[in-house]
Parts: sequence; C-alpha cells; structure tokens
Amino acid sequence: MSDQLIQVFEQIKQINDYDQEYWSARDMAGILKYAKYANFQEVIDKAKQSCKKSGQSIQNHFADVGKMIELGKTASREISDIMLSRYACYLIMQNADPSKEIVARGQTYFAIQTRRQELQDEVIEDQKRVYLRDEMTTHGKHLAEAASIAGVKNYGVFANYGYMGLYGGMKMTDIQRKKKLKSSQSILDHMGSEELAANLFRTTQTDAKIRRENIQGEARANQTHFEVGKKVRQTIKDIGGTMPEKLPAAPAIKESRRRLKSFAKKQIA
Amino acid sequence: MAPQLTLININQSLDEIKRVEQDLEYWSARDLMPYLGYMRWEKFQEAIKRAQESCKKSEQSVKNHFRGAAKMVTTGSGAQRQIQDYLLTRYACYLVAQNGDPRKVEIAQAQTYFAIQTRKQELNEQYEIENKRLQSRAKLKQTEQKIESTVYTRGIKLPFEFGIFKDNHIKALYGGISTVELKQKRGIPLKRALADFDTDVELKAKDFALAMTDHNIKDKNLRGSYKLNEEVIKNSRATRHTLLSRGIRPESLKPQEDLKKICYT
Repeated sequence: MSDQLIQVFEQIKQINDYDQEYWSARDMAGILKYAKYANFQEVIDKAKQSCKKSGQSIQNHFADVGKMIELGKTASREISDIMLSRYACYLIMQNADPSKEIVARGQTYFAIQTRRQELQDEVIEDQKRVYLRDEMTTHGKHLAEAASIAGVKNYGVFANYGYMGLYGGMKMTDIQRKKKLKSSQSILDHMGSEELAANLFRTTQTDAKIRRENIQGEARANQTHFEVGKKVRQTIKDIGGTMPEKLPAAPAIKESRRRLKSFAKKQIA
Repeated sequence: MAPQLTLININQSLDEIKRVEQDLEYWSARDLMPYLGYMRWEKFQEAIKRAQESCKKSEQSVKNHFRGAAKMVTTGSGAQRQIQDYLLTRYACYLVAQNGDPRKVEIAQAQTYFAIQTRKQELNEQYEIENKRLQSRAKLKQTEQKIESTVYTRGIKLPFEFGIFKDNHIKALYGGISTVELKQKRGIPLKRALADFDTDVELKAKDFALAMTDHNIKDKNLRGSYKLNEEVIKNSRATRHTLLSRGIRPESLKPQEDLKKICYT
C-alpha cells in the first residue's frame, strides 16, 4: 500500500521554533515526483482553493518563506518555498496528478483510512446508542413507577405530555410520522445517541422532580412531564443544537446490537 | 461573527443515495453528481476520468469499481431515453471526490473530511502501537522481577551481581553490545532503562529469553552464579538467532519514543 509514501512523508517532517510540525513545499514536490516546481505550484493553488472553500485559513496552513539553497561550493541563493501544515499536505496529495503512481497510491490510502475511521465511528455510535437505549428502559420503568405513585392512570397520555414538551407539541404518533416510521416501529428504537440522551435527561429529571416535590394528581404529573420536556428543548435551542424532531431516524437498534456482537467476536478471534 | 462551518459529510450523503444488491452497496454516478456540486455530466466525467486513472495506478480494477451502465430517463416530451452512467463502489466515490474540482464547496469539504478522518485513523493506529508497547513493557517488568527472585535463592544475591546477569542477557541478545554501549549508541540517558525505548519486538524478545531462562533454571534446578549466567546467555543467544533468521537485527532497530512520556500524556 502507500505506507511507503507516508513513511517518507513523516521522514521529511520538520519542527519549527514553536514545536509545531511542518513540511517544505519544495520537499513535498520531490516526494510526489514533480520535476518542475512550477507544475507543483498548480497543485498548491488547487489545495489552497480547497482549504479556503472548506472555511479554513490559507495563511495558517500555507506560509510563504524563503529557502536557502547551495550553489556550488561558496555561493547560495534564496528560493521561494512554502511551509505547509499536515492538513495542507493532505489536501495537496488529494489534488495532485493521479496519473503519478505515488499520488494514486496516496489517494487510495486516504480512501482506506477514511473508511476505517468511519467504521470505528460507527462502532462508537452503536455502543452509545445501545447503552442509552437500555438506560431508557430502566429509567422509563422508574418514571412509570413515580407516575403511578402520583396517581397517573393513563400512562400513554402521560408519556405524550413529555414528548409534546420536548418535541414542540408533537405526540408520539406525530414523531413517528415526521420520521417516516411505521406505527409498529418504536421511536426509541430509531433514535440516534444524541436524541436518546435528550430523552433520557427528560425522563430522569421528570422522575426526580415528581418524587422530590411529591407531585400528586394525574393532571399535575402530566404538566410536570410537559414542562421538563420543554425545558430540555429550550436548553438544546440555547446551545444551538438540532431540535430532536429534526434529527434523522436511525436504523433499528437491533442492527446496532447485531453489529456490536459481530465486532466483539472479531476482537476475540 | 465568523460563518459557521458545517462539514457536509460525504459518508452521510452516500448513505442517502446508496443502492444495495445482494448485500453489495453501490452508487450511481448520476445520483452522486449533485452531491459533489456538479451540474453538468461532461464536467463530472472529467473527475471520474481522473479517479479511474488513480484507481488504475493503484493497481485496482477500474472495471470493478466503475462499472459502465445506462440509465433510463424520461425526456420533456415523455419519451424514454438512455443516458450514460457508472455504478461506483464506495472506493470509487471517494476517489471521485478527491479528484473533483476543489473550487466547489462540496468537493473542498469532502477533501477536508478525508484529511480529518485519515488523521484520526493514523492517531488511532499510533495509539494502538503505543498501547501494545506499554503492555509488553509491563509484562517484561513482571518477568524480570520473577527471575530476580528465582536467582536470588540460587546464588545471585547482590544488586551488582544481578546487574552483571542482566548485562550478560543484553550482550548475548545484541551480539556483544553491552547495556551501556547500547544506551550510548541510541542516545539514551545512562540513568534511564533501555527497555523504555525498545520496540515492541525487542520487549517481547527479552521477555521470551528471560522466561525461558526462568523455566530452565527451575526445571534443571540450576544453582550458582556461573550456571545461572550461562543459562541466561544461552537463551538470549538462541533468541537472537531466531530474530536474525527472520531478518531482524536487534541492535539496528531505532529507539522508540520514551514510554515514560507516553504514560504521562
């Protein structure tokens, strides 16, 4: 694979006075097999475009400097060079000429490493989801108990008050519809970790409030659930987060559980 | 206020337009085109061409990753017409995004995404290697403590005697180079343990040689400084032979980052 490119790349790394790593554009042109620096400058320009369009500062990643080169035994001359950050180098490798084998192999390396990281991220999200989903089951039971003590007879209605608070007036069936789920699909089973965590917070806070303030009566319990949900919603808004109804429906939690099991098997094997 | 940057995650885009057939995921280039900011097929084809070139030069099969296909579309008059398309693998999609026009926001953000994900993965790998070294180092420490107590009851009691015993082990493993010489050669401070700068394979080799020595001393009931030293030299030399026969010359391995530093960061 392109371990070779990466090895050479790490070897030509330099460290500045602030202990930051950087690369010389002249050196990069060399390892990417650009004989003429002028041709390499086109690649640098493309990488700068990419940097800018990603909302990153060109100055931070491409710093113009001079580089002294030896001319014969006694003379030396300064030529232009650019100090590149790691990010700048990675953009350059992606924007260089793919008909060069070293560039092509570099691009394949980026594709593979990206995919590996994505799969790693997937495992992390699966773990969070499964953990939070199970917590929801446990704390849902605690909440049901607290509601029952408060005098709630219709738990479905009580649950909907919580959803209405958190989801801006939407009931469970409205959320199902909004997320294009079937009526047989549990909304909790299709929440990502972020949404599950918001619901878990709503659940545990309502449970604690009802018990702490010894709230009595179905109507007052419903109202409490609604208010806690609304507060959580307001908090998400204040933080600048995505409203829970806007978060995409995740695939069934069953899939995450299955994936984690096969992942665990692979770890052992 | 600076404009907020929300990275368009190409992985999420691909999820939206993924097609699955017999458990294999693939993408239509025509579907992908707008997600990468292209309006015209002719322009998009240029990116595809470069991606195919990249695929070929990486010695991957262009045919497998960019399967030619036709797509039926309904024209304005209601007639059906065939247009050119490609069925792409995920790898092909990633190559197309890397080879697209970086003036397009979608392409630029995809490239930044690849840079970030690649770096994260590299750091994960580095972390894994460091973790392995830490574990091997801890294991070696255990084995060293064990053998120290084994030889203590059999004739190597004084600290300087055990020092010689250990130096014999190092000399036999490193082809005659002593601990002090090796530290000098590798630029390691004399007060620091050599093993804190070892590669994983050296840590394992030392552990193996000492574990064999410990076993044999007990098994053959060896006693006396001479016999104990002889045993550790034999086992260390045998371990060295194994390394050499597999092309590993331990004294030529480069010193690694200080494990004490890794511990604390």
